[in-house]
Amino acid sequence: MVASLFLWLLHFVHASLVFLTTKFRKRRYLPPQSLTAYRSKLPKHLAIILVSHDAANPKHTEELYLECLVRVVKWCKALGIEQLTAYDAEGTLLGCSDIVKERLTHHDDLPTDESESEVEYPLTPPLSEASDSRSHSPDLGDFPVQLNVTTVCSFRKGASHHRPREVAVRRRAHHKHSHNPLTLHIISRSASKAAIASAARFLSDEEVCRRQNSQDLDHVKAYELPISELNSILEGGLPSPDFMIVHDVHLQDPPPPLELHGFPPWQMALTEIHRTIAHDVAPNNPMASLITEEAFCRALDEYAGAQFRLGR
Amino acid sequence: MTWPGILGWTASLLAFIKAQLVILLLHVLSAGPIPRHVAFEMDGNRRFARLTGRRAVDGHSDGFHTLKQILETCMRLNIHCVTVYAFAIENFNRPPDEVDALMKLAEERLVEIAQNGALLSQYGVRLNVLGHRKLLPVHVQVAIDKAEGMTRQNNRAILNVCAPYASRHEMTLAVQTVVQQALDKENFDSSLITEQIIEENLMTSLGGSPPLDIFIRTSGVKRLSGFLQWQCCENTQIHMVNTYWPDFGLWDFVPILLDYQRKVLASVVGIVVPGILILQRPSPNVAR
Repeated sequence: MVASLFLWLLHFVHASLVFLTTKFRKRRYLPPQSLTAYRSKLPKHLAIILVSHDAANPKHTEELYLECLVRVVKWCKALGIEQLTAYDAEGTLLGCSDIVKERLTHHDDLPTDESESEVEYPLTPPLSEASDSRSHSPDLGDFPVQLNVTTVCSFRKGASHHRPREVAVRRRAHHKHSHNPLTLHIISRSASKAAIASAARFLSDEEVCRRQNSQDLDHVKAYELPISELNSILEGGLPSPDFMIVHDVHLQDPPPPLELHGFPPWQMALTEIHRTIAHDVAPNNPMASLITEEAFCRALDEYAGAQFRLGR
Repeated sequence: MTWPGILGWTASLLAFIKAQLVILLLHVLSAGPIPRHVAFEMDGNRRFARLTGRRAVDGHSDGFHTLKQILETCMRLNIHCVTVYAFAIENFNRPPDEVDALMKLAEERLVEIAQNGALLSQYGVRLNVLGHRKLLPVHVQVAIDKAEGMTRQNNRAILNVCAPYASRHEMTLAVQTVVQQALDKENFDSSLITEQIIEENLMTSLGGSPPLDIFIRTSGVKRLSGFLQWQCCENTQIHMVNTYWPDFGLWDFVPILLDYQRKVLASVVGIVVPGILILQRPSPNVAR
């Protein structure tokens, strides 16, 4: 009992210190660089995790997510970021992907000779690269892997329909209204651990079929799975982002500890992680839960300053 | 008494008082919710050493000392499982003399803490070394087998030392195992392969580790860098602290534990208060 009382006192002291520290930091607040300012590096693939703690108002949450996504797409296009992954655990964006496509097509900042967007639903991944231990025969049939990634590609009207990553994209900052092609992946928790399980089922069926069709007696050999093979399946549906921004549409100050809300684990190995802070949100703004350009720029500033040693 | 004697006596007294205050603090913390499983990505040893003009290997030695202190803190708090990232598969890219020094450190220190009367036996901790063990020199593999053998009967807590480890390797191995299990069964229905089954075949799960509650990376880097990606992507509080690992201590750890306790208490209030409101709601048949 006495220990519990002291624990409550400790929590009170800690909360007070955090409150005072937050106030002190606000006084020393420095704004980030502008969107088009030079940065030593920009992510080629950005992911944004949208989080909400308001389960009672799903429609409002959907509106907030959609508006956040439209804003981030606009900024990514202005900067020439090639790929964007939008994630929310519950699948709110996935459930309104048609509305997403419509909003992106009719966004005000798009010039009149505008880009088209095309929705792709990659269910069947490319065949994994041939390995030394197995060969792929047309007799194996098609074992679709449910990776649950919705991809929206935008490209200029009149251009040939080629995959966005074949388009050369300048890496430096652009004029605010330039419109570089952008590939948008919309995912939810169903693209996370469940996708790895789906890949496992695919590999199991593929190996069973291969052994049944194989003339060799190598079915007694232990099954070996190279990392590269699993990687080609999983990244075939969703490449790994370089940088991830976690944005809570109901920002608290001070915020609770960072969580990743079920984002696909395979793709997070080297992803730089940033979380938006309440102070970057415009004050007295009724839509204060939306991600602001200031918050986005601060995230990019942080990414530009990050160092990658890659184990060395 | 001479001045040096007085100063020495004072220092001893202050150290004793500090030790007692730490014990009291840990006792107070233990009155609240305690995480079952905490992971530490022990980053910053080399930069810490460079700050004081020393070699990288000296930083790693300091880091091991911090590991022992933090491990003892976790054991006093009854944290059931601690996982540490000691060596990544990619770390073999480091200069050979540094890699050799790290292998020597691992070979000597693992056996040191596993011996009778040492830290692991004192708190009943079972040691699991997780990772692609075949990549290690044979003499290190022998030392690991010896250290694990010394602690195999311990069952109060678990220490997972990930070396050499990479999360994608762990996930791939789990998928490989699950597929092999499917192949070993006649007419196996692959639809029975679920994320739960893959999770059960991760190295941490096979060693008896509970779900991960807190993930801590030191040195200010804000990436996972291939550590426990599956385990920490959901329902895990992630803390990226600026302190270098050799400097990590209670000043950094206590606020992290308080954050965890706040989360657990908030979720309890979220269940209890609505439950109380439901119980207090008047029955529709009661006359007003």
